Amino acid sequence: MNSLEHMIRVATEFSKSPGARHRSDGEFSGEEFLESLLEPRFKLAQDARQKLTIDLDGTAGYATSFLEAAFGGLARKYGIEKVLAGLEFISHEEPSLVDEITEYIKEAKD
Amino acid sequence: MRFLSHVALFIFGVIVGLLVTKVPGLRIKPEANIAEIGNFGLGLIIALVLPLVVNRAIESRRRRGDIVADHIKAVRAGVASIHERFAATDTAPMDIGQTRLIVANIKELSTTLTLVKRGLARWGFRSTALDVLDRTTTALRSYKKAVTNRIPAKSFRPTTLEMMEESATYINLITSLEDLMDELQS
Repeated sequence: MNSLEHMIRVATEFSKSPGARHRSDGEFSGEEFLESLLEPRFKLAQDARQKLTIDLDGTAGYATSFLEAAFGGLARKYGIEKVLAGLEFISHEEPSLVDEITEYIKEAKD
Repeated sequence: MRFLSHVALFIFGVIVGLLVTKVPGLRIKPEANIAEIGNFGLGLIIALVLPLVVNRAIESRRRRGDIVADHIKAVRAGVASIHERFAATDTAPMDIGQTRLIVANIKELSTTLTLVKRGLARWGFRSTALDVLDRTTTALRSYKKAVTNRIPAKSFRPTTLEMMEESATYINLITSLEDLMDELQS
């Protein structure tokens, strides 16, 4: 069982309406999510040799730009394999999101 | 109940007929035995009951197919609505409200397809229906990518290339949805 610091509930800890790609695009962007939550928690989980669980449910939906900036951005910083191995997802409402995010991680380029 | 009583009466009549050899004199046919009568009766019951069971199963599958088809029609209407809104951004930039609405609608469509998939698996549709559904889910993902990959939260006016990409993925998605409908109705 993951502790709370090894888990992110996007809807309650970040926003119910995640935005677009960059901070300059408006609030709750993928970039903001990456820098304020995803990367710090990912580091904590890595230090504890734990997986970081991301609960994606409860939001109004995710734009591709948000997902790519956040998860593709993490993969660009830490490497595709490390990110794929270090994250797990909860997405009961929209199960295909997990495949979508995995695709963005695998396609992440510098 | 009325139907069953008629069936019982019919079977009774047939058995009596088997036991009787000559009319008008009622006489038990010596060759007729209980095994033959039982065999005939069983055959008759199977012949009467089997079509009922099969028809009920077909009817039930058809009803489930209709429910799934209604969901798919809703998905199709949702996609068409997003397509119209996206096309409108050609002349007027998309605002934050429209952006959020599109993202929310795509989530709803994705969830609906997931529910349809669960329904298909549980209700025992042909595996080809699941294959078509998987293709449709992939098509929706491509469409989502085309529509939401570039939109910022504030205002958005797509380029000609983005409009073309949206159109191509839209047509692909609509075709997949139509294939799925055909598959369920075949």
